[in-house]
Amino acid sequence: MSVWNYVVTAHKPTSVTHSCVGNFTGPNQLNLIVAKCTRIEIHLLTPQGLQPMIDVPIYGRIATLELFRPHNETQDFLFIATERYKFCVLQWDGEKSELLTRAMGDVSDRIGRPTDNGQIGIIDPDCRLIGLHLYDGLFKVIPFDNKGQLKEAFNIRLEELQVLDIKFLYGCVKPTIVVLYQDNKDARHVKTYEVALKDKDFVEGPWSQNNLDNGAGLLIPVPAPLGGVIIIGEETIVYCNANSTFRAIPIKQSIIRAYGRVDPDGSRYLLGDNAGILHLLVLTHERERVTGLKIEYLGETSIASSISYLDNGVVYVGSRFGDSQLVKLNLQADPNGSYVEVLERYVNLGPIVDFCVVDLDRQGQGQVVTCSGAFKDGSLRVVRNGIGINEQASVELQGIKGLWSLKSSFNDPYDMYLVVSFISETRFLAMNMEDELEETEIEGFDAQTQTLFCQNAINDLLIQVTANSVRLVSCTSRELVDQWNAPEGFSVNVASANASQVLLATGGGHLVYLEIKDSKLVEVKHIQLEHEISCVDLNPIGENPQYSSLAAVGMWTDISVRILSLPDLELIRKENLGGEIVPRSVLLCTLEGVSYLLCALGDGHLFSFLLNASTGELTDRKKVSLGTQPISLRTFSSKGTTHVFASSDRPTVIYSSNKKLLYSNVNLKEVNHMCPFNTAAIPDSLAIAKEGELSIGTIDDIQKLHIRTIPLNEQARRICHQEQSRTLAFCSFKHNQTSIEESETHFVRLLDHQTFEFLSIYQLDQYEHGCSIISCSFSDDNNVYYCVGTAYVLPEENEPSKGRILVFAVEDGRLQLIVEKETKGAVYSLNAFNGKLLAAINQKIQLYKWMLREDGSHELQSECGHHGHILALYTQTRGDFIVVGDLMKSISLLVYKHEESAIEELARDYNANWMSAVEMLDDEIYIGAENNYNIFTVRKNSDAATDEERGRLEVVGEYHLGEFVNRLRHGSLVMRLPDSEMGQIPTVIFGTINGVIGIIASLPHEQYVFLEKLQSTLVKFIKGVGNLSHEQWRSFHNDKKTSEARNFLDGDLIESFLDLSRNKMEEVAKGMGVPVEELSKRVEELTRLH
Amino acid sequence: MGPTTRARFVHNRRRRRRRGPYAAPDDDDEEEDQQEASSSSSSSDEGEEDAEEEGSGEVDDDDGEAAEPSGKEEEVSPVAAAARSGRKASITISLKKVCKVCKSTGHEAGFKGAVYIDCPRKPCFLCKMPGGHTTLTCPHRVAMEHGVIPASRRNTNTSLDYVFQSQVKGKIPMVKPQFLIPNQLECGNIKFHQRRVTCLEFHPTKNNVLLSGDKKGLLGVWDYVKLHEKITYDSVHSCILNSMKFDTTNDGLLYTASSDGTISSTDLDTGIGSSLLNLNPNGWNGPSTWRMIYGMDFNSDKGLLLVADSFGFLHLLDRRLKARIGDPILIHKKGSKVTSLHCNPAQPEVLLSSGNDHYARIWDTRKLEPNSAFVSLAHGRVVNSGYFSPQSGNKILTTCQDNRIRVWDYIFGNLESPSREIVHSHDFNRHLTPFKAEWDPKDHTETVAVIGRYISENYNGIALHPIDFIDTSTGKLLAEVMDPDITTISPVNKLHPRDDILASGSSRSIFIWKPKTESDATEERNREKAKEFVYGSGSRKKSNGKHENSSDDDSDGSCDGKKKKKAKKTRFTHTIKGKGKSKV
Repeated sequence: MSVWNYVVTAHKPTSVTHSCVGNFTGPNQLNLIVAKCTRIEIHLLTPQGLQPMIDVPIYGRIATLELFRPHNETQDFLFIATERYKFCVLQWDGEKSELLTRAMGDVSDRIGRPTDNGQIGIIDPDCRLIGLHLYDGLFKVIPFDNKGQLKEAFNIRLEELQVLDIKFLYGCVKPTIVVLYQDNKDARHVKTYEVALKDKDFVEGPWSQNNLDNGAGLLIPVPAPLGGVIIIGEETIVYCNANSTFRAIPIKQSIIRAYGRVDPDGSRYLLGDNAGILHLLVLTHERERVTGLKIEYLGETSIASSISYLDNGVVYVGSRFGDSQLVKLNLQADPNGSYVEVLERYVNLGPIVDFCVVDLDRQGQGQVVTCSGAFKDGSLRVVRNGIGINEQASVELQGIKGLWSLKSSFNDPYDMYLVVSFISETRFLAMNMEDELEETEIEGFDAQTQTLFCQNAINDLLIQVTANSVRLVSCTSRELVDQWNAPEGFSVNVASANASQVLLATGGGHLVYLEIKDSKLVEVKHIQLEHEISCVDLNPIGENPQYSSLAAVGMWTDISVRILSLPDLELIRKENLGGEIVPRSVLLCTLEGVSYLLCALGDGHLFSFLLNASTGELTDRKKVSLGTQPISLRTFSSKGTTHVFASSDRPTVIYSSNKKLLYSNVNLKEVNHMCPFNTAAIPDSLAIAKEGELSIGTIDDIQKLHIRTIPLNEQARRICHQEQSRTLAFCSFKHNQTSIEESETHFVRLLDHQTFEFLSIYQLDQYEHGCSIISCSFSDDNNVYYCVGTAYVLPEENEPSKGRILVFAVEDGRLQLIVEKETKGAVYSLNAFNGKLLAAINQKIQLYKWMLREDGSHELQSECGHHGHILALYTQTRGDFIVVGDLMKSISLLVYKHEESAIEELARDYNANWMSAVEMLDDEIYIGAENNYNIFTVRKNSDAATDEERGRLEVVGEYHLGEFVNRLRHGSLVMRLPDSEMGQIPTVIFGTINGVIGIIASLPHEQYVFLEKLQSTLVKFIKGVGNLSHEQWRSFHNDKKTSEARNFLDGDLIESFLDLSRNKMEEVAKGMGVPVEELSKRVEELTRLH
Repeated sequence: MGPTTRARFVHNRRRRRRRGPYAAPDDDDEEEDQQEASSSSSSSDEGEEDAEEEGSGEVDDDDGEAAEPSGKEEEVSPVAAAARSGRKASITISLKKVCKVCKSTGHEAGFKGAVYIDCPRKPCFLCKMPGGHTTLTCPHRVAMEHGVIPASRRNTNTSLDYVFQSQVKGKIPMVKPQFLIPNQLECGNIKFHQRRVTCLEFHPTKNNVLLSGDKKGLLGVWDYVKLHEKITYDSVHSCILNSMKFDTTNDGLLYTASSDGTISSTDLDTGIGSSLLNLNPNGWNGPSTWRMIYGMDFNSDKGLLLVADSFGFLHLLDRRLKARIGDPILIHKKGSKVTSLHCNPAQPEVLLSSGNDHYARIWDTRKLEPNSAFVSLAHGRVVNSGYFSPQSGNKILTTCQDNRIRVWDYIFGNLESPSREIVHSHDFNRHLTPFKAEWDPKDHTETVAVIGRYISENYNGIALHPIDFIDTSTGKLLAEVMDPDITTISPVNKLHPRDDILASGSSRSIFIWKPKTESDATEERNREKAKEFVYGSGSRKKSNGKHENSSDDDSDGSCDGKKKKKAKKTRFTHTIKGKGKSKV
């Protein structure tokens, strides 16, 4: 790999941090706005449900998301503040359907201690000011002027240093905040302040309330006329207001951090706790006087981070730890006593705590198995690029040469027959009443020869093309109606047909065009071309679905594809493909209303052209490589949308999204033929002919990444894959809460890597936590083991002083403990290393040998170690080199010296980075991720002149990812084709807390320079939402420094080039001095990295 | 140390001074009694004294050697006492046991071996609070956090919790990992300087390079990994080098401030320096006009040097113009010494000054006028130093002669009274460089501070003066670092900005400490740890320029002579093998 890296998101963030409801896109439109850390999504509430309107990236991590309605406005504005102290106010531009920036700015201070409890951003209900609590002891005020414009911000000193929550009170003459804080003795109180805007100061507020619940953590201001505030504690809920009304109710101990208001008058609230329980809190009142509080259990949801009440009992529950949900609150409880009905789940991979890359098919295409979710919402997720075919049935059949499906009548919505062609016969299968496929006969068809094409035709006819003839058969009687015979001495080589037309080619370049007229085959035109014809197609793409006015023909010898007009077979366009490889399949198709000509070659390459359906003109020629074997193209439809299936050694689905062609792998090894087979029993299924097998399967939704969930109800922490035993093993734990005590039970679990069936479980000791797991083998031992590192977390200890390394073998699908070794601390990381085991144990790196004892058993024997880390958390090895990611001392490089049997430090990075993941890109370059959401690369300085320089890892790349990376691993989500340029680019996959899966690709320098120029050009054309600056967003930033991003490119920005309008693309291309076609080709290639 | 451990004060530097050998604590108290009101002037007097005493090395030479072989003391004491009385009358030798502190009979105070016994008639020497207890029974003696309100934000998470919680929740409050104490003597440079070391500074980019200044104005550059790579520059200043600051934009350039009233900028490679400022252009006209410079800091944003003199004035100096900007501004009581200046690391315009007038003050250097301080932080006595916390600049740490370290946890919090006062023995600066509590620059929690201790510990019969690591958020003593081979007081201490290394200046020597590697008993017992020392002044000595003068040669010679003698005396060998410490 190299220092020139390209970072791109393969799976966008899915963990929901904020949500709000309001009239944002129009005075009468109700919107749900969801923030997923660095993106916002705006949905419209329609009678059919939530309809997504826009999903945009924000150049910042969203700290505050609030809707507000300035005076004299008919719809809401959106206030966003980011963790790096930028803010913006957005408005919806209904005409252009885009976000307008009303205001933006920076609210950072140079001195000030960032708050521990997160940033607070609140807006006065009467829209007089925005209040921000960003630093301890300071309350920042951005006042509105009377026109609703924001004025200059200022700070007010806030006496309370440990603030837990601040809210504006409703119905106050002067803007009034209520502050929940903790004093030096850890007692919690609330206090109110009026904001005196003129004096830029606080005035002691109307009331305060001392000595609240020790767990009080959330304030809910109650709208006028009730007014006042609800204080949510862990054991009590309290209501109080200025009239010294004080109402309290006890609750079952829980931590409530999310609430949603149900009624505008504020008499009912939904509360979500940390166990995923949804409660309803009711303020009972007589007129404007609150008389009491009531709390009711509603049911269980994902652990909520935000709750937005939409309408009619429908609630959006946003979650950071599990799938977000749309739930309906029913009036009646279900048999389990739950009033909650889940209407929809929105997949969330976050937090991805760990993952492993599993290449089941050994094709270089990984599927990623993540440890996702937290607490009760923990799960494993299998993330796969490409489209899955889920096999429903299969039969062994050798030598299939072609597959077609036929309906029993032209207007029947479902397919009835499956025509399977072999080298010297054709067999027919039909659906019977029991939803079985059984062999049948179609009397009018020739079953004694290979079929070249089959098709339902108008007038309830069936077409069969064989080498000798074209037959028309009646659907009802199954008898031959008409026949066209090939001329003597010629046989049909290739053929294609639609409902009313047949085009076939015989040897010698003869092309014959037939039409079905009055149930007869009529030869309309016959021409001879100068070369042999390799493939034909006349799939209708025009207005008439039964008749095509264009035909496509692929040629031998001159290697061209030609567009001919029908019925007169006149050449409209000839496109030379170049090279020596013959086109083997052509297809005319319309995807998302755009017509294409696709032409596949014998070597797995595919040309695509935009086709003008009326003139036959071909434009926008593109070439991609899909596989290495001949491709055959076929359209199919899934959920009412047409896609193209390319059968080859690497079957691919070609689909269109945003009017762009996208290519997605299919999880099958080699497909020779495919035809859609839409039956009543299994709608939208496909019949697939593989080597020696015919199978019927359904296809996943057509999208890039596919995610399968294996719910655990406990949290998985570390995972690894063992190819030899065909298993996955992971460390997980379950939270047990009894009435008095909380405890955790930790496990090592084993599952099948294909079926994900749970095979075995090993429970760890009391207080023992699983901290690391690997699969490895040792010198002089052929077996493969799982090694698990643990720590005993004793209540009285500050730092685990004891742990274990457990070595398991998988025997008959069970985990067998072979060896255990006690350690002097937590085993944070394990690596297979030179046939030995390398462990990171608290401050130390320790190497263990695998020793055979006299009795034939094995033991782990410590060989050597290395001190000098604060906590060695992450280790990676390569040859004799070890890279260590320290808790707070960045990256260091160690080397194992065989002769001396010692580990020594070679170099380290002297920056004080708190690491969250490390990986070695190659021998010289290492990449790290740290807790301020940055990634960086360092380089070994082995050629430096002085010891001092050699002892220093030079920081060569820096980048603000904006995501907390928990794991970096080599691998790829997509198939790496050895012959394509992209196939040579090494990649690393990362997984983050927000559920992002991303790719870091090391580019050749020339390409990096080119893309860097493209990035800086694009920054001028693509403005960040809220005018936030891309350069600032991507600059490396921590408590000590901010420096410009270097040696990393933002792939998300670069690839958004493809979403630009044609005009803008051309402007960018002009700026780059590169033809727009070439530019989009280069960017498109990049998209194939993920 | 158990509660039975007894205190002992080492003050033998006083032996040759006016009032006899064992009067050190007494001395101080008396001084305090007499001069309480004007202790500021007394202290600045002392500074002048130092300046004047330039050249009369003898007194000073003994300065740091606090603990000469301790067994000797008992024998010597009656003779010394007699000698003192003998000056005034005919020789009589009294064998009566009198208190060496208050001179009355009936009790004994003073040294018993390595242990000092308090005089019950004097208030506690450590906390200086009345209340009937003595230093030995002072509650602060046993637990430093006595009476201290700890900072409220305490992260109770273990590192393991932190690691696995942050994987789910992202950036959570960072844990305070176990602090690595550089508690093992790694190497030393014995009598590198001819006079006591007054300030130390690590090179900002060259990891192993330490700079030191001494009382005579000598500037030393030492690579403590390549022990013999050391240079001294002797004509940068003519007396006490009080402060050093690197030009952060050009780290070959060092600014130094001295009691000779000049600021010099020195190129470290060549030793060629130029004077940026001279506050005494007319030379020596007596102590009433002689200005000395103690506090200095560099505002790199503005290229501005801030310099404070011994009369309470602040001078601003433009680095590029090499010229003063504006008039000097009085920032502390007129005529009183400004002991230190520190620019806030996050907001360099914000300046913290501390002075002999018992105040530390915060200023905005953009709007400087007399009495324009944001806040004046009142102290009990002379403030030796005041620093903002090194990373965020959010905290303040001061060292005051009233034996208190004061901490303000948050500059936007309540500054009226300190968040914490930590009693710590450092009230002594006569012929010692004043003690200053220094932050650990790499500690992200900004809690750890290091400061030398004046009061000694009985360590297997030897009186040692530990260097204390203090958790300023709790007042807890994290560690006391000492080595039986270093019996001198170590008032000057600096922690490395990146490595776990402590440099300490003790008398004329410099020591480097590293964390003790916790060895697995089996594996590393046989690996002997060697500590190394180098002796004497720099291998090359460069004066300001190229010429070498004869006095240098002389001092080199004398130094060599002494070196041999001392080497025997202090039992130092070039390498001491196998530190088999009895206690772990």
